[in-house]
Amino acid sequence: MGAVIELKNVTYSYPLTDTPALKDFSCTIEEGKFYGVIGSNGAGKTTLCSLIRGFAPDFFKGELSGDVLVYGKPTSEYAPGELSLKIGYVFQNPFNQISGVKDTLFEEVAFGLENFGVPVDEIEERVTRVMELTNITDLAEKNPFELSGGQQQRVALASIIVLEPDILVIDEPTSQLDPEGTESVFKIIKAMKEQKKTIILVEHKIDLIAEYADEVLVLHEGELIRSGDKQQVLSDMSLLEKGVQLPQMAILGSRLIQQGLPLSYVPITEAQGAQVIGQAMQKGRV
Amino acid sequence: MAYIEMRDVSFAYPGGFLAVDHIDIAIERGENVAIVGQNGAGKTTTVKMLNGLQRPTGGDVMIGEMNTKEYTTAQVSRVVGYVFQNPDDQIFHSTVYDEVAFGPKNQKLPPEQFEAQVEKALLMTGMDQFRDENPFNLPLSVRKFVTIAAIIAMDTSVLIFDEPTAGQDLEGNRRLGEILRKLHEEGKTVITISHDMDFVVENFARVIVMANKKVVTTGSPEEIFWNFDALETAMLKQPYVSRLCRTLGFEGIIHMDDAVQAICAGCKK
Amino acid sequence: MTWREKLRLHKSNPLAALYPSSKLLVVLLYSFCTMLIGTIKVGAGHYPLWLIPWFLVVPVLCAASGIFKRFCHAFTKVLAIVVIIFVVQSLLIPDKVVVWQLGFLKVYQSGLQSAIYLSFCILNIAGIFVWMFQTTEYKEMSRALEDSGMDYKAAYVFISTLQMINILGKNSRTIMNAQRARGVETQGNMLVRAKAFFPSLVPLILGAITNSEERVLTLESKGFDVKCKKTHLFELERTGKEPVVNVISIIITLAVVVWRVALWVL
Repeated sequence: MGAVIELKNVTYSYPLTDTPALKDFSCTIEEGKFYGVIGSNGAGKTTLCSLIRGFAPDFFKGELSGDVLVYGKPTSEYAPGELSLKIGYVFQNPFNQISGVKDTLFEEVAFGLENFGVPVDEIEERVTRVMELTNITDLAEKNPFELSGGQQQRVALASIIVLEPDILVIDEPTSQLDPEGTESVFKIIKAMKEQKKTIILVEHKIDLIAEYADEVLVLHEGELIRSGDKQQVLSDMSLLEKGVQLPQMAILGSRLIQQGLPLSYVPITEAQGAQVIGQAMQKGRV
Repeated sequence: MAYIEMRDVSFAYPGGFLAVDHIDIAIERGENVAIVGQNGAGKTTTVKMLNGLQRPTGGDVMIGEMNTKEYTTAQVSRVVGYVFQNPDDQIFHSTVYDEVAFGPKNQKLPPEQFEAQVEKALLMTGMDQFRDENPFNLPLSVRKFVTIAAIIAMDTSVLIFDEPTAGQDLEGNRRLGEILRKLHEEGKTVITISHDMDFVVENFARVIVMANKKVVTTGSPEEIFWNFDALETAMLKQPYVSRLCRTLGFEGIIHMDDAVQAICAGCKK
Repeated sequence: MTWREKLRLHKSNPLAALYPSSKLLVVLLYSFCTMLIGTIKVGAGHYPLWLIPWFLVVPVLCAASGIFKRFCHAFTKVLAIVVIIFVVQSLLIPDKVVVWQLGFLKVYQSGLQSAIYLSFCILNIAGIFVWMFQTTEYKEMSRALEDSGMDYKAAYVFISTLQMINILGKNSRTIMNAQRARGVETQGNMLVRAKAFFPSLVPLILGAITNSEERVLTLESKGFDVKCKKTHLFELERTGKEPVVNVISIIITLAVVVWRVALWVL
């Protein structure tokens, strides 16, 4: 497993701003792993995503120092469209990701493939497959503008997944969705994880990050303040002071430890909580 | 008679599509209520009938003595304020101060009252530090607080928040909780739609559950989040703390404090 | 059935199924004829009366294309505007000859001439455009534009702008609702509505601009900028009747020209 994305001492400022959005930021993204990116609003999470995908500085302009490397090459050296086949990007607002020129879902998902000149037979086969994966086959003939937010977000994911990128950058996909919509989106993300894609997910729904991620990157005021295995990071109570939401189980677990209950580790998911707290209750209080 | 009453209210769109199907809701003055349910359950249409944006096609909506059918939306808005989910549907001034002052300006208040209302709203939402900023230079989640301030400044006796928690971080949720608490202290009647069950548990005394265009049930968070039939009908899950307690065999718990107590008490010595 | 076959539009009506460029030719020639016929003055008052029977072509064409009901529905708005124009033109252009009088309202001859000319030109030209838009889907137009050599980006802008009009309509309703909830009255006299204009328009435009930024990035993520031969899932075919229609349209136009020139010379 090698590094697919590297940020080396990256400092980036948007145009006409005084403070950099990211300061001296360094991290390595390894192939096939699922990274959760968390932090308070304004900490630089979306900026990080834009840099990885190359939208910054190419589209947003601004000043960049340091290197952003994708497969060893700086993002600025990729030809237009080349990065789209390597890195898929999903935004927070489902509505803005609709092309606006297709009136059926099937064609909407096929749009990217048409742009890349993929032969029509292949388009049909790939789109059908991806629609089944994202559970939107029965919506195939509907107009994209007539869908709910959750359905539109699944279409956005499908349109990107059909291009078969190995890396997915997903920026708060469920912020505007209801619990059911959120669940349907996470099902797709889970399927992508099972396909061993490299996933970078920005989310506030920390319990879902605890469930699915492998590693977590914590941002605060433009800096990377913690990174590593999710078990270590998400049980670090000091992060609460930096405006970072931690999983309910972790907060509960650490409070129980304070009360003297001998938990063998701090749980971060419901399953872990049931196991480790159940065990400790058997052993009794210290 | 409650302060806000929806009596056998239904709403059907002109094409015939039914969005709300014979609901009855009663909210007392000064109550702090959350409405939960999946999208499509009828929550937004219901609250839009509370501030006159929609008129019920069946039944009556009473705000105090006012039947919303007999007033324009702008007239009902003097009593019931509504904060939309997307702040960008409302903001059109170039400074936060002007945006917040717009509502009170339309109310033609005496200068001291105008000042007081605007300042109070800015302070309560933490927006006083951004008063001269252009709202569009602020992140989306902060812009939400600008629109919240804009409605608070109108000093209506009822406030409706449509999904204020969407996209908020830890600090944002904390500030929202503060605002709700302060409004409650002032005796305002507040109705909030939210998808964040943990936030609902922390901040509301009463929850109305909606599904399939009807009201499924209403009660305290303790009652709602342990009413499995209601949760199943509305396709909602218990908060994580409750789920864990259920697995461990503790019934009726929704707050972390109670969970900690119950678990420690339930330990073998 | 493959998706491609499913997507291909199967129109039962041969006129509606015509290739878009053929329809465009019909529209352009019809408009040219309209303006030409409008120059023929009839009767003592020199009114361009031939425009009135000429207008019957549009509803007949729509009925033949199977879209009569949809045409009526879409056309009512145009009709409203035309009635206003007619009334204003007839009452406001002063002349020596008064054709009709009711109290202080006077309809002058030149006003009536101008009113008939303008109203029926608009009715004719708007009518034929409505016919074209009601019988052609956006994706057909887009494909036809691209096939004729238009840059795919320009075709995209054209179609997405048309789609956006619907979206902006919906958005503006949401924004007006949001502002009504803040005490902005939107129903009432002109002054009231004028005051509601600014609070409704600014969020709409700003929203459209910020949304379009993300949409541009989305397009880029889907290879919009890649320079290669694009493939198309949607296939647009000619019915084979296009040459016939084109020839008939040209013959009719020539007949109108000859007639006009003849009337002029004689």
